[in-house]
Amino acid sequence: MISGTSDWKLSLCLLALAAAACTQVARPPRQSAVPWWEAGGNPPGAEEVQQDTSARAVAEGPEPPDSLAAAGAEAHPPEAAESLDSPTAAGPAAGQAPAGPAPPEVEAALPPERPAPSPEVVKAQRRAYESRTREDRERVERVNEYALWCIERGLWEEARIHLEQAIAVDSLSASLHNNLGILYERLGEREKARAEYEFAARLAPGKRLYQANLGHLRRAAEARGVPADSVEIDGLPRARERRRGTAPARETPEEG
Amino acid sequence: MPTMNTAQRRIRAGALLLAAVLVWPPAGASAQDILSSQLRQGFGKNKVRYKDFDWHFVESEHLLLHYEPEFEDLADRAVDYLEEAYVHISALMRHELSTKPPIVIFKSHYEFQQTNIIQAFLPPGVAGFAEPLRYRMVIPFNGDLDDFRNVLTHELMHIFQYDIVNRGPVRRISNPIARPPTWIMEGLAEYSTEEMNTIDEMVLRDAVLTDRLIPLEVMDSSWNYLPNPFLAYKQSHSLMEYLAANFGPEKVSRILRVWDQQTDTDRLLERLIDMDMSTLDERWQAHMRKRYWPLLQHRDYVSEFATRVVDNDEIHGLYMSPEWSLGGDMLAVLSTDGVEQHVDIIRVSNGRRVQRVTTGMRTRVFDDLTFGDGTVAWAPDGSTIALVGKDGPKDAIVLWDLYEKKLVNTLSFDDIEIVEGLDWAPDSRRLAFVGTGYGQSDIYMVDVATEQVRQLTGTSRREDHPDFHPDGRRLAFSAKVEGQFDIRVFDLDTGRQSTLVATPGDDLWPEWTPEGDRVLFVSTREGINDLFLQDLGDGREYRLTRTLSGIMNPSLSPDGQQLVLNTYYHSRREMYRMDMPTMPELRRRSDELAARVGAEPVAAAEATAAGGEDPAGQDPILLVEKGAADSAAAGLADATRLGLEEAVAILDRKADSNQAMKLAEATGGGAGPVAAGEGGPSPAGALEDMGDALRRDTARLPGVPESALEGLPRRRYTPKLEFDGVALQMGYYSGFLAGVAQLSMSDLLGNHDLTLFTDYVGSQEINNDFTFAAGYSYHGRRPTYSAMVFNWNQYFNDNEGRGPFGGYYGIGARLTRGLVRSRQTGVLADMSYPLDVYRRIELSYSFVDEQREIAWPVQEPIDGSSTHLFKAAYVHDSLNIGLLGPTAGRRYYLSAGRTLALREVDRNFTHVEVDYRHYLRLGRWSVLGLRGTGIGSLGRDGLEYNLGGPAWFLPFYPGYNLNVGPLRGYAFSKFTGTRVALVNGEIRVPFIRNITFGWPGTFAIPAVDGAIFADLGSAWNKDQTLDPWPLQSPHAEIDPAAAEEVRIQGGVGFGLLVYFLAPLNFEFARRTDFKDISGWHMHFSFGRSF
Repeated sequence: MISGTSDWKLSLCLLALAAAACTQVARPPRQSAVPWWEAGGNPPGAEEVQQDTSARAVAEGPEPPDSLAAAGAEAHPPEAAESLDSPTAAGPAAGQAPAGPAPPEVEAALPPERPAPSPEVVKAQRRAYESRTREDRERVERVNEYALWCIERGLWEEARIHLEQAIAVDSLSASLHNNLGILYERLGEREKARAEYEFAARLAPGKRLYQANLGHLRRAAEARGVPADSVEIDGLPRARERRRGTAPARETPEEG
Repeated sequence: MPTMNTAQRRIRAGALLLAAVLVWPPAGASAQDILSSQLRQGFGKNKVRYKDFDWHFVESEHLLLHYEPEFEDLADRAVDYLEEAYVHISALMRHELSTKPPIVIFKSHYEFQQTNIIQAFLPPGVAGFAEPLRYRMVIPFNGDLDDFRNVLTHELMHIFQYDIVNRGPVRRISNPIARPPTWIMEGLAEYSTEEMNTIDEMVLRDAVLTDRLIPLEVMDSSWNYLPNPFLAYKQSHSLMEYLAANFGPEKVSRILRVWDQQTDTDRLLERLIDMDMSTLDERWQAHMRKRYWPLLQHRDYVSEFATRVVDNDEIHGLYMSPEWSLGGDMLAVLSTDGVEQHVDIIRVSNGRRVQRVTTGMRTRVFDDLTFGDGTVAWAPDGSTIALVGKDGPKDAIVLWDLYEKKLVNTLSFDDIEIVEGLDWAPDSRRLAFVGTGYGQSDIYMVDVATEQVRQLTGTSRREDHPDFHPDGRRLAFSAKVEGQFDIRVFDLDTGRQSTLVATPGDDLWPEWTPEGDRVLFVSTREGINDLFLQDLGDGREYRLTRTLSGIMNPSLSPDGQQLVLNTYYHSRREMYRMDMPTMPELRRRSDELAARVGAEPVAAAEATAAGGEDPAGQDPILLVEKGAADSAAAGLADATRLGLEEAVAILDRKADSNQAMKLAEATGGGAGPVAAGEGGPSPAGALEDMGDALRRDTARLPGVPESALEGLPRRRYTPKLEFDGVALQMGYYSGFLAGVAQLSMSDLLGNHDLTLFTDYVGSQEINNDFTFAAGYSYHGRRPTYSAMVFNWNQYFNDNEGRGPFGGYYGIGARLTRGLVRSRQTGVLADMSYPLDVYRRIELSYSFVDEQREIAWPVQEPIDGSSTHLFKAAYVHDSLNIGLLGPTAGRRYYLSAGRTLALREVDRNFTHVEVDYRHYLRLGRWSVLGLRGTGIGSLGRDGLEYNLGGPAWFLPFYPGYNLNVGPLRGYAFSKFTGTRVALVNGEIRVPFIRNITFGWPGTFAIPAVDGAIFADLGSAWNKDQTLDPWPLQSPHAEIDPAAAEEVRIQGGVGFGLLVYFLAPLNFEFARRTDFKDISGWHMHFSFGRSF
């Protein structure tokens, strides 16, 4: 029985090294170990190079809770809650990134935006927001990070279901809604994606990346061929920093 | 895996050294050899004795069974089983044992691993062993009484085999390792147990259908190097069944006696059945093909309806116990590549690894990952993965947080040693599992937050595969009832059980669908594991598969849309994914598969007997016993094999009417399928418990009557030394004929070892002095102790020329050199305390007094010295070791020693030594080995160590135990000094794995590796200095002042490492002083590379 492929590659390398010790061998260019959003390259499967703007999210920092009052936020989008049971057959297969333009059925024009909720609803949400415990906030942040970890690996369904689960616990986290919007967009559910972006933008109106994602979504709907990968993933830089050990782990709970 | 106890290793090393010094006395051999033997540190993992066992024994008619009172019930069962097996095997082999074999049982595998009867590490796959010299059998209980009975029977057959082959005490001593071919020994042992189960059949059937049967000639010659030993066992079993069915059971009885007269397998078979080995193999294979190939017409390959998850053709790659992630994108699996075992998260879509869960956990969190059925579980909320690792003496559940990618908790439980079958409740707080401890296995549930444990079942029968209902209030599981697994449901609110599925075969691995109204399960009703779905709404059962290979470990995705499962294909366990059919599709498919039933050519369950021609020969076990049917005991033995109903009848005949009535009630209440919901507070569980107890009573009857069993003498075990073996060595050196005799003794449990040595020196010139050494070691507690006292004389020529005539002495007209006698007297004492499997602390004290004198032709003292040496060491060893050397992990030690100089003539030095080795995997079998070591023997009388040549040249070569390590390119022990530094780097890559040659004869070479290496090192003395910078200008002038400066020496080269009976190393190296480089030098050495 012949042993493993990697072993044989190594064996051949050793033989080549021994035979050509004095021969200069041109080295192939190294593949970057930097993730695609950080390197400014394509996501897996995407055809065009996208501008990475996620650093802005760090520069802007978390939104203060006071921004919520100005958000005129609505309740957690019912579509998102329903999507727990909705079929996702229209989206790409699990573990695969979509390649090329989105399919025609998701290119339909987006429906008009809905009116903002009443002040009473906003007030109730704010109370709920303020009653969150530190553990709740930390858990949400962990789920967010995990979702980003899944997104890095193209595990869209896994990320979606965890984000939906987290939103069921904390429906007022702007970053959760933004990232869920990205997943919906990736899975071809643009109506749900728009609702999530809008909700995130209302929760944190000062955060430009949510508006930018909404804008990208609109442009993608208007102009065929605009890839959906130009969206901004919120929380990713912080998650990276935490993994590198350069960010305070639990000092600042994720922004509202 | 080297696991020799440190104390024992010391004794043996000391004994070998003494023997070596005598038989090959190198000039100048002295007390230094003994001291350096004590100082040089050894590696190796520890056999940790976690428990202070309280051994008792019971003596029955044919055996002595050793057990602990805490599992006396299990011991009673074992006596029943063994006496029954004795009757059965005795009739089969037509032989009575010459002595009562001592049998030791343990209540779990982890306690079994602590036995001292064998020093080797006992991995989880080892179900027990029997040793040929003292006929000891050692068996652990694995949680299933039927398996326990089978292993007891299997090992007892080995005792019969040893007794037949090595008749009489002389042959037992002189011929303990001369054994018939392993396929005959193991085939007979398997043949004596019950028929093959469906997993055994699965492995054998796959080998036939994929043309991967192992040729009989290869099994005969290369058993130890077979890549699939499990298949070899099953083939051997099948061959014995074939022999019995086609040539008569008496051939099986005769085979060992024929071997006694003719040890060549070909001739043995010709004498037995008038057929050589290749003809037998050809006919048996033809028989197997006729048996299994018709299945192809009516059964499906799994690949026809499912997709392989992991596209990996490596035979050592294995993925099992799949568990779905919350989103259905990933699976958590147990995986191994043949070197390491891990829990991995892989993508469902392509099988590629996303995350390794257990990185760095081995040695830090647990000793070893428990690689069993259902030892991984992914919590329904998707955030936590539970896995099982052996931590000290028992399993612990390890909880790993997926969000944080870190370990969050470990849970271990009193009295539960083995954990398997994990399943999370829907709330992701409670975890059900199968726990084995105190002689039985049951289902438990633990709240992972509060760590509160609840025992759900409590019978002696085997329970397995718990699966929570989606409402979290019920639990389905497999339970063995009347020798077969049914699926039962435990109501967590009421604590009641009911039967959910009970088909004629085993019903295993229940999986609730997400709606909770159907249960997916595996049934073995036709002898092949197939998938079924029980619809609790309409009460119908649907068949999902009719496979060729069989199905294990099915796991439904959280949405119920997909299914992953294990099957056995191409001699390894494969993982497949299939879509769950919709109900209309399922109905159509089930009807289509059911329609094939009438056309099924062979019901594999019925085809387990090998012969087709002779129905009477289908169960040779019963046939033999029925031949002795007059005996009531034999009749009852039949009864227990036939099942409970027949047992009822026999009990009835025995006028034990009360017991029979109880038994009938119990079987009536517990048998037969009960639809869900009907069970309610039914007394089924209680009745089955009663049935269980009665079955146990029934099982008692065959071998020993109940009253006799209860009256058997039981006593506490007291150690008594018994003879283990004797070794004799003879040698001739420079006019001496010298011999060493070694006598070894130990107690039955191997806790006490005593070894005695003496020698004989034949010479015309000297009288033989009294020479002896006695070593004792004790392993009965966690710290181990050893001690040796010795008074050893050795002789060598006076090469220094002390005689009056130019160094010679005059004897008559002849001049001759004198003879020097070196008398070494002393004590060696060691203590080793294992912190865990991988780490230990060692302490030792040595006293050696050496007196040298001219012994002939005059008697004149020369010199003498004494040494009191204290040493302490810390050792870490977590290596994985392959045939040719380490494959992964690291090992290191730090040791320090100091002498106590009480007199001026006493030796005075300080010893420090460090050795660090790290092995990095570069591929599946490729490894980069790095090593750095340094020794300093500081002070007036520092010991001198050697450097140069390969690591291990020849045993007993002069200075072999003082050679520090490989510095290839130089002669063996080229450099000498009290200080040594050495650095090695070596890359080993595999060239060949498992190649079998057909000429001359059939033999196998299991591994050939290639290596490139570089060594740097130097040895120097107190008055010299080491220049650590190896490079020097080729034009540099030699500075006389630097004459005492020692430079680093180097060697580079390549090697071919071949495993053939032992590791053989052929290495080619060039040496360099970093100014010039030499030509090629070849080294040959034995032993594993560093």
